[in-house]
Amino acid sequence: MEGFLHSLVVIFQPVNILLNIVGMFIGILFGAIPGLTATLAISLLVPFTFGLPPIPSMILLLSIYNGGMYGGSITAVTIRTPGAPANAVTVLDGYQLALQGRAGTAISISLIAGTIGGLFSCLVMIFLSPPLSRIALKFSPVEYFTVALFGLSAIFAISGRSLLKGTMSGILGLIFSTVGMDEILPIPRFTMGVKDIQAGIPFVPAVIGLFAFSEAFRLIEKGEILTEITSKIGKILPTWKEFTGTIKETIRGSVIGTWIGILPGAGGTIAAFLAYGETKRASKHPERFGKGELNGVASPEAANNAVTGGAMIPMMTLGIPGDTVTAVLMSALIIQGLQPGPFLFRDHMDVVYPIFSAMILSNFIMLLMGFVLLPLTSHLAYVKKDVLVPIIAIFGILGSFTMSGSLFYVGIAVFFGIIGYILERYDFPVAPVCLSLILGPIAENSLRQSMIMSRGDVTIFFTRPISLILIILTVLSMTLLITRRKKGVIISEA
Amino acid sequence: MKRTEIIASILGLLLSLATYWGTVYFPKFPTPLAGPEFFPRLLAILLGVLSLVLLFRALRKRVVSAEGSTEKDEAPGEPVFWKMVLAMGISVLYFLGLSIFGFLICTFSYFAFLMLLMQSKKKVLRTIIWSAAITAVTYVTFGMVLRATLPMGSIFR
Repeated sequence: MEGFLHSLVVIFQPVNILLNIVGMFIGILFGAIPGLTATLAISLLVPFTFGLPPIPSMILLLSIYNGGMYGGSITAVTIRTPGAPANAVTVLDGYQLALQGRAGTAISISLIAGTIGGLFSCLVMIFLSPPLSRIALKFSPVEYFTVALFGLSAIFAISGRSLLKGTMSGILGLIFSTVGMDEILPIPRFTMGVKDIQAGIPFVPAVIGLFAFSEAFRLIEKGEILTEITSKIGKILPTWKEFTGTIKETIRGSVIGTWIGILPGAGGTIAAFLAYGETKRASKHPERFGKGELNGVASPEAANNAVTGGAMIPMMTLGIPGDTVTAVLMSALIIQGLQPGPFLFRDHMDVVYPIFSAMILSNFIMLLMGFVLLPLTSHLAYVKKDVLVPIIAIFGILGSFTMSGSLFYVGIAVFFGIIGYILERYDFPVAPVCLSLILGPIAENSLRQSMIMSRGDVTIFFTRPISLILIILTVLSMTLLITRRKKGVIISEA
Repeated sequence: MKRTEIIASILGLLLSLATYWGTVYFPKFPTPLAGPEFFPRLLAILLGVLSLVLLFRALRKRVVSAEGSTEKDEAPGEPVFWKMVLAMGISVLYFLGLSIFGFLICTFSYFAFLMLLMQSKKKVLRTIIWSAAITAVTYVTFGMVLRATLPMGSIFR
């Protein structure tokens, strides 16, 4: 309790509040501009947090994460274009509300629901993380391998339209992750004599390339795009009746979102669709959905914001990111010299508590800034792309360069930008490459250590209870995802 | 998409072979499943198998569409494709040019080039103003305020 109170003192320092506001602004901005996502914003900003202490850097990035989740709903409502895939389902009722002149109400309900969802998931994260990390302290390489395998099963969820191509992308990422010095025998692997990659392919420039550069190339190919204004914002604050009418579904969305967030790879898009479906199924008036039902906005928006806290749980406690954003956040912690996982809870509670508190604070800041910026952000879709694209490219380059002072990192970013663009152009998703890049070394090293421990006996994974449970969970998760695909539920997660 | 899938599967097979071949000279480890070659080889085999599946699926689609449908192959031949290739080329040139011409010249040129590439109607003055402004802002922010060591270029030394 004392640690938690101390964390409040830390996060309320003026500089940290300022970083929270700046991060929120960037997050909402990126979320609201169609095509740009919180993942892209975080990837671009991670290198610049290198010079900051761990807590301020995480405050900045986490507020981008929260803001990005909400920001995407703005254009989903106003111009029927979700800012991010997780806001796609908001279009169904949000845009109908906008056509009725109630865009302001729809966006503010999305904001309130998102805040409640985010706060709910933060509380779950705070209560669930410490006991989970204590269990994880007892993990050996055997358990770590199965946890990594469970994390890698997320590839099935973020594979986009083709499971085959998504899996191939994941394997490509795993192959990239084997580049560099071997961790058991001191020999270089696949380095082709390049000394700069002996420590492995640097994750941050690779992610900047995969997301920022490939996005810039894609936008260049699409050309300059402007969208016409089709709806009016109308009044901003919802009435008391409108607000109370959405509370139940907001809570439903929050619970679904938090649970989905904990699962590897499921992410905001699945959470939002699932929450929308459940809300519609439970409604006494399902016929109103798709025609401008406020609960059709509240529930999915609460769910996709609730994913943030849920997704942080496996990343913080086990050191296993469940999706692309948490993979990038994890790299930000590693850059700061902090290894996410159970030891973080044992040795760095001074960092863990402020991160938790900052997530709670950022939800309140989101609520405040969301209302203040609403009139401005509803026009963000009209930002001229001819200026935006070069800015993304320049920031990508600066980010890659400043984190190391080496032009080689710029080369890595450009190289992965080209790889990312080519992959996406031919329908191979890039998110699995990113996830595999960070999970690959964990999976390989723990597998090899397990094999040394067992002298090559693979049954070791089935004879230890936690490892066996995780294998069963991995198989169940993969089977569920394949079944959902067969039923036609295909969702891509950026 | 069939032709591109065939190309993708062939590239996948080549990468798979290259990865496997790259592990041939790794030293042997007493426990084979814990050796440095085990994981990359496993990945190479998996990639090879999946590439073959993709290849056969694409070939089968090709046969089916040749028999009945009039569906055409989608190839990267749209009019704007060259823009993106040009952008990639100039990005590589920017990376190579940074050490020679330095941050200021390269960033200004790169920004202006990308802006012009994005515009359907070329707005030269707007492009010059934005390029100069962004170059100046980034230089002041990163080079002077944050004191990052931005490349000055060998020709200015």
